[in-house]
Amino acid sequence: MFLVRRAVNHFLEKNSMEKTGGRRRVKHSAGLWRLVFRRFKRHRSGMIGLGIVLAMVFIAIFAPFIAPYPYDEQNFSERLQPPSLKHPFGTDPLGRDVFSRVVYGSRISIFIGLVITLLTAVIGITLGLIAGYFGGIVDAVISKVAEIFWAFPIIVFALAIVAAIGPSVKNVILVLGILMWVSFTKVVRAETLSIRERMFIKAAKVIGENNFKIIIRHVLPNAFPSIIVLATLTVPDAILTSAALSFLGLGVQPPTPEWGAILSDGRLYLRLAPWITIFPGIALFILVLGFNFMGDGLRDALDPLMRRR
Amino acid sequence: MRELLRVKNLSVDYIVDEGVVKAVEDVSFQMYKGEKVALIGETGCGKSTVALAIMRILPHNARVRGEIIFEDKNLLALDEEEMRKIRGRRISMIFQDPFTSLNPLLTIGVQNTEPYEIHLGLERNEALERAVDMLKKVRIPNPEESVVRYPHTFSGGMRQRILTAMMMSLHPDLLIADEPFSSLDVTIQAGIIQMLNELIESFNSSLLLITHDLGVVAETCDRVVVMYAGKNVEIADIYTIFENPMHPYTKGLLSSIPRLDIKVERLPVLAGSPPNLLNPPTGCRFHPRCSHAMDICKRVTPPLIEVDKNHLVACHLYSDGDEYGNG
Repeated sequence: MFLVRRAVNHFLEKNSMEKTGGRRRVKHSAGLWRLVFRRFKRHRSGMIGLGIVLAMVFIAIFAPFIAPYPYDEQNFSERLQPPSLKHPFGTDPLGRDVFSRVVYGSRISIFIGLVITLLTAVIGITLGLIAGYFGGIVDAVISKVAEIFWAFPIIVFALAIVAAIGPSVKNVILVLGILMWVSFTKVVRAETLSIRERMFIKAAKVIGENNFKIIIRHVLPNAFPSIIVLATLTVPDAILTSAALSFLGLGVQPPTPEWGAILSDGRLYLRLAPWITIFPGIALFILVLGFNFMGDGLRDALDPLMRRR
Repeated sequence: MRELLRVKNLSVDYIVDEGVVKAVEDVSFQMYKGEKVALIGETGCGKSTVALAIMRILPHNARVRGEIIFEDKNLLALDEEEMRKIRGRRISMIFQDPFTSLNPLLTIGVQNTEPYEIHLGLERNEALERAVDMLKKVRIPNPEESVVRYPHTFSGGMRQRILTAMMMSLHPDLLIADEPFSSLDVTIQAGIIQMLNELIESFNSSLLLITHDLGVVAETCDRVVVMYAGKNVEIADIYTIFENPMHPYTKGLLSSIPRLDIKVERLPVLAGSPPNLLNPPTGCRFHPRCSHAMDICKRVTPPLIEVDKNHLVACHLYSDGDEYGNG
């Protein structure tokens, strides 16, 4: 353990020296995050993932300028058209331009993915920190509740709740936010357990720091590498799950374009007009792949930080 | 001399899956203001547990009995909030491992200003000024520039100095140093010991030095508390310990120091290893390794008795009372 730590320290030191050019001591020593960024830049699939995600975000933001038609404009004279120059992704049974709907759909998917991740992260991290730091009965209760949620298939649970409270974007976000926090709690709790034993936590106690500040200033930042990786992997998970809910008719309601919902619409015309199903599927696939690549790259880039204990 | 700290019949048990580890049992000693006391003993004899008990930062599975009187307050009876006001301001502590004692994600400036912000409520700038001042006192080169650097850019010795600066920020009355030098190179040790000594003296603080390095003890301390397997076996001032050790364990420890003035083929070592504290030996815990062990040693725990002025020993060799130690 000691050797690993020394090696990593050496590595970190060398890198921070490198930047300021050899022997001259650093004035403002290169932060750890800058180092991580440098490592990330060298990670090919990570950069590809980042590129995909940024492109998708760009499309989502500038959807009105990219989409040739409004997403709900119906044109019955051009129903079920195959892909052409006029309609790159073809048209659906109501004569709506699939390309425009897919472009607008990116807004919903990315929005839902990010908001659910944020919500689950806030719930999960808070519970994980409390369970890991205080231990004892608090930990036992939180961990057992997490186990119960973990054991349940999310989709089934979500279906039941959404069916009960009614399908809408808000409800999908709420339900998945409440159901998907467990992975954050598990990861953050495990991290906290190991960080809690490190000497600088003891040092913080010795100078009279209170528990709240120890958690916020010392435990949480040191758990951050794992949290970031988990968050980038939770976004695609949330996107897929919400798309699945929409596909089953319990998510986003028409005419709002959502990839899962468009897929579902195209189901009936799968043999007649496969493009309705294929293109939102590809979009979903690319976005999820992008986030996963990015998460992989981040995990590798953050590796020395996560290993350093 | 005014009494600063009195540890009275302190016992600490750790509850583990296999049972109860009696890490510290019935340990008593006191410290006076400005005094430097060494707590020595083998690894695992409960030295660090005593330190953690004084700071009240023992792990959750520890059960503590006894009293720790600091000035006139029993630290073990204080609530957490009162204890926090004492930590860092009145009693402080430095650790063995300088590599992990600083948070790798915060700059030195952020970490070393914390004591001022917590206890004095100082503003950022003023706290920073005083932290830089402290770093100067522990002889960190370019303290003004050091405060924007992260811990990993410093060597082990420098980190130990930085930690010392942080812990001494508010001139605590008592500094507990838990083997602060053992992970450092010998050449660096000397400088840090000297620095620590000067700091303690200039702040008029007391030092509780936990170590197994008798050389450091001889150089630094006024008085020595010897512990063995969770009990204190001998307490005496530094000269008495080195000149006239009485407990067989202390004698054994001292005879295993290499000396320049006596030529020996092999250094004598204490036979055997420290006992498992899950199930310590009955009577005197040292009896299985003791060459003077008598019948009574197996049955009766020897009390700590004053054999000479300020020289306390827990050994049946010196108790001339009845076998229950009521001498």
